[in-house]
Amino acid sequence: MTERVLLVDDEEEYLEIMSERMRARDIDVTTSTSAREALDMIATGSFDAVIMDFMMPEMNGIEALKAIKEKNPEMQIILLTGHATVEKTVEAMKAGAMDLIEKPADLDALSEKIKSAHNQKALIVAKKDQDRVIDMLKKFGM
Amino acid sequence: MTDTKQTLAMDGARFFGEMTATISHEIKNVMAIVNENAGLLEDMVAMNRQGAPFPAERIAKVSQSVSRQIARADDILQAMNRFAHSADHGSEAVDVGETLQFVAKLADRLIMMHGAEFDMPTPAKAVITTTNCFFLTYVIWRCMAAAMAMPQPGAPIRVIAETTPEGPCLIFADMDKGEKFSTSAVSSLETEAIFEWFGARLTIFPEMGEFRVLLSEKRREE
Repeated sequence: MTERVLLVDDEEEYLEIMSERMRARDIDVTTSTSAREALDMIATGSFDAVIMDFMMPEMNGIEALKAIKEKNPEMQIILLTGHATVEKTVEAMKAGAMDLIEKPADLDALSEKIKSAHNQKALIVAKKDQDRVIDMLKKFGM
Repeated sequence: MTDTKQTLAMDGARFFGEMTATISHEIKNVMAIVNENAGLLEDMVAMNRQGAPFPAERIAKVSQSVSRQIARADDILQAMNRFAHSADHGSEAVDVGETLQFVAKLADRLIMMHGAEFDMPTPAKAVITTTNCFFLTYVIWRCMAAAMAMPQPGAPIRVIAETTPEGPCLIFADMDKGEKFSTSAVSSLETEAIFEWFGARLTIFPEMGEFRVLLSEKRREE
């Protein structure tokens, strides 16, 4: 099954080239140049993962990450940053990021992370479904 | 070293760090695009080995993208080099209006991240002062940062450099007028060591959405 990714960065040229390379690897990519637009896209679309730049205008990566996690706790979010300091990594992980990757990113390694995000999200959704069934069975006294 | 001088030295080092950090972030963005272009070429070579023809138009686009990014990096590094040399002379003749433009360029990403925009018209007559270029850059940045800390007016903040009998003056105008003008965001500037060093005087006109910073020249020879 194809992985569905939302790639968010204010660098349009980066989005264009990165998405072309991802599509060549059979990844279904949607792009956005702002975190606010990305939030709207997540509300209406279905993605396995969001790959997002840490430093963006208006709303930075951490703020966007928290906003996404609040409404979509199962969403897997990978942050891209110019400099992955320990402080930044801890902040991102605490806020619920799946990973923090330093730019320039290695696409093969990133593709592996996307696959793992897809699997992780599928597991979370399956677990939710299972819990729902168990709740229903309990309601019927079974 | 006096307390003020020590504070000023530390504030100056912090400012230097803030600017170099944002510059290095910009360089990383350039590198990321060049890296993806190189990766795209590698992908094309791999596809060619499997029998696909080389897409000449796409390759030309890659080349243009790399050239564009090299020019961008050169621009960033030239600004960084100028900034690095700004502390070379204790005191020198500096064009305040031109330094305003330079600070805006240097801190472009930080300004963009605040969602702010500055309009800096070139003064009809050059505002020349004799001072330390690094500290002038710093005091301008502190004023811009204070202006950005206010709710954004939705239109560019106008910054004008003017010569007055008491020294060069920076006017931050066209900021949101009335309720949205936060006097407290600006008034704290007066307590900063760099203001003391410049003997700077701050005047706020909330009803006009404006503040002025007069850079006294009494310390210019230090």
